[in-house]
Amino acid sequence: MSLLANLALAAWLVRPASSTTAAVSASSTNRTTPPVALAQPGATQSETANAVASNPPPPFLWSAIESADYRQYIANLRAVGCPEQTIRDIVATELCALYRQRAGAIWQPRKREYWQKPSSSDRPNPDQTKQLQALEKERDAVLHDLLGGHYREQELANALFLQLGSSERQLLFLPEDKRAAALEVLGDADVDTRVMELFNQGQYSREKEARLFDEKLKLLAKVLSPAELEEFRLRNSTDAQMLRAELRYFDCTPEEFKQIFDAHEASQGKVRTNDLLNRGPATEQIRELFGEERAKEYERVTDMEYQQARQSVDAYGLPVELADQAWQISHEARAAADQIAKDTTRPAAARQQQVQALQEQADRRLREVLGEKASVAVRRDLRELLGLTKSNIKP
Amino acid sequence: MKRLLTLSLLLNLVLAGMVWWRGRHEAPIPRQPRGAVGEPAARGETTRGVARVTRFAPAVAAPDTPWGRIESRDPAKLIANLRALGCPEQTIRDIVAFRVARRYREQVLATEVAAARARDYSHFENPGAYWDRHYSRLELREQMIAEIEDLFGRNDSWLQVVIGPTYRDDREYLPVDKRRQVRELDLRYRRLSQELESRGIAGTLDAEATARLAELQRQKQAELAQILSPAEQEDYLYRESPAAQYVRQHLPQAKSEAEFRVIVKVAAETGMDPSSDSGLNARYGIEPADPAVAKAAADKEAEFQRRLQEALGADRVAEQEAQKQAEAKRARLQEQQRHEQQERARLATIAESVGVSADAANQFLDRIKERQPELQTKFTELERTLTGTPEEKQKQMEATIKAEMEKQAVEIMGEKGRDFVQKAMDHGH
Repeated sequence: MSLLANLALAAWLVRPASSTTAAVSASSTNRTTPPVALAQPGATQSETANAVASNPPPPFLWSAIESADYRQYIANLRAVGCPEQTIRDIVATELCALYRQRAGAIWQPRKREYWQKPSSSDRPNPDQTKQLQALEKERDAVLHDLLGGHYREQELANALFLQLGSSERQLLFLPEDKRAAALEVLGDADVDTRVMELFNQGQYSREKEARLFDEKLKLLAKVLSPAELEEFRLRNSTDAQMLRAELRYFDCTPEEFKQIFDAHEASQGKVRTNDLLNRGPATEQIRELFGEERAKEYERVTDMEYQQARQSVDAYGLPVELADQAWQISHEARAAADQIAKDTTRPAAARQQQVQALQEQADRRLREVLGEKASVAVRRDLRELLGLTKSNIKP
Repeated sequence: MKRLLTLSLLLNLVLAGMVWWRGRHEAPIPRQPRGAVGEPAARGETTRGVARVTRFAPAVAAPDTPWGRIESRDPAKLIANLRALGCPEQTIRDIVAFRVARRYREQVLATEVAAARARDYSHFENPGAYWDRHYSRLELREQMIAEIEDLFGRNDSWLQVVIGPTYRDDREYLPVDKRRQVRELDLRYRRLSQELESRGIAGTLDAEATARLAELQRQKQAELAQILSPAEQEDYLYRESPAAQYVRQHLPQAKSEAEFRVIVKVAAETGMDPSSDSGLNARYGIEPADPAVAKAAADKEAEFQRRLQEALGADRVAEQEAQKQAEAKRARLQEQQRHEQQERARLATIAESVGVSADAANQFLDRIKERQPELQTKFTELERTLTGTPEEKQKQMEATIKAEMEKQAVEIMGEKGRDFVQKAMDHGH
């Protein structure tokens, strides 16, 4: 047992000093500077500094801070009272620049003249991609080692371009302290990077996105209250986004939205959001939740044709009631066309003609109600829908 | 034996001590300083290039520390103080640029927080409010860029300040102050154009809005002419005008710079811009909302083609067209391959979730691909015989497809194939 312990301790001692230390700078010497020597008032460290008699000498010299070792450099900065954020900015920008240089040695985009097209084939080969990914990992490990937490190059870009990170944006509704705690747990699990990879590396699938979102919820459950977690879900899940799109013209309170959302989930796929082919189950669900009148409203305002009409009405500043009228015209025309199409007792050509006549009549009425310009998109959609009905009429 | 054990225990103690010591004294991480440490500059010499004085809240540093004595709310003063320490120029740039940027970002964050808290989750945000904040953020960024550039003199663009001289700016053909003017002009017109385009219905503009958009372009060109010299205007035309963007995006690679310039000139004279692609809506199956707009776009493109033939010759234009077709074909193939890879990855995930290997999912997809022509014919025939409402027909069709898929899946995966197909269909495959 004791021999085993000897072996284990010896192995730990002879392991490489740190996986992150070797490659930061191949050319740098491993000298460390002694602790910072502060310039005392009146000290003569530089003739230049003393040349201007009216200026007091600087409280310290940068040469005393410099070090060929990052740990020492950071310690020196701390020793003179440099603020932590400034230390992070100095060290992170320096390291990221260094790693950019090293990445450039592995691969960099071909220089393109202004008159040349960007080439889609100008990308690193699989081997270079592997090397670049390894380098990125190494950089992140060094940053983590030196600065703690999970510092990413993306944070520098976000600061400079005044952007918000994707999780940061999703958590804006929370109080500041909760937001910070939530960002920390998500940062520890590197969720944002994985979400970005999902979208950028052609690996997107709804299942993967849903799994990542579930993982996010589990992580956030450690720092958010159940109510905050629920609000996060209702604000940010893909299903909630889809439901918001469907309900954009449906007048509902946040509580009612939650009721609909929960009912959709409880239906286990029987009721699908934005299921344009089969509106029945969703309308039935609204009927059960809020009664007949609201169900009728829901059916109307979530219909594709209503949404198109409403968009046109809003864009042209027309009264909202005109969208209702336009929908009514379109709805009636579609229902009548379906009836005609089904009537197999009559010849196909006659039925097709009748649908065509219906379309022309509806087109005229839509023009009258919405006017020439505002009716353009609604008429186009109706033309396409009835065209489909017509083409499905078979002898 | 007892002696050996004693020796081993002693060795344990020594090793444990060394492990403890090493843990306390972590390995150094080698560093190569980013810039040469300078001689401390006399204070009077350190404020060069500062064109305007701004203020930022200093990062928290205890006032009685050495750093506290060089801190300043005035970035120009802080730069001067850092130069007086002999701080490398790039480090000064890093410190100050990020401090300025963080101050602006705080403003952006505060606005976004207020907006997020003001709305609930039942409805989307009003698009107008979103775009207002978007452009306010871009305007703030312009102010931030101007501030950073002013602080470090006007010879470097803001990203050169942060990244260093290796950064290449696409607008290097212009002096920094003119780049700023052009950026501000771009932003203003982008906002005006966006306001107009957001009123477009279902992604298309009517004739009146299209004409107003063209008028905005003309106004922008007129304003650019006030800022740029004739030589700079010419550079702008070939490098970043809407006509140059159109040529780079929609036409095959020019043979030479001279040919590119000829094409851009023709594109500019015929009013082509990146949105001038009358075939775009057709490719995506969108019928243009306003036929007059579609006709005008088609006429414009025809005129461009006619003028291009005059300028380059019919043979070269035909060659370009062939190249364009080949590029489109290649792009389609790549897209198909990418799509298939994604599909395989998705099916592999589903397969794993029902206890089937990814290989089996791949075999299943290969089998379906192999039988696709036969299945396609079968389903088309079936579609003709279906009766009932569109919803009923859809259901019958789905049931038939499912039964066929299950048959194939069970042959490859056994009974688990049924779960696999069910799950795949639930996920919209």
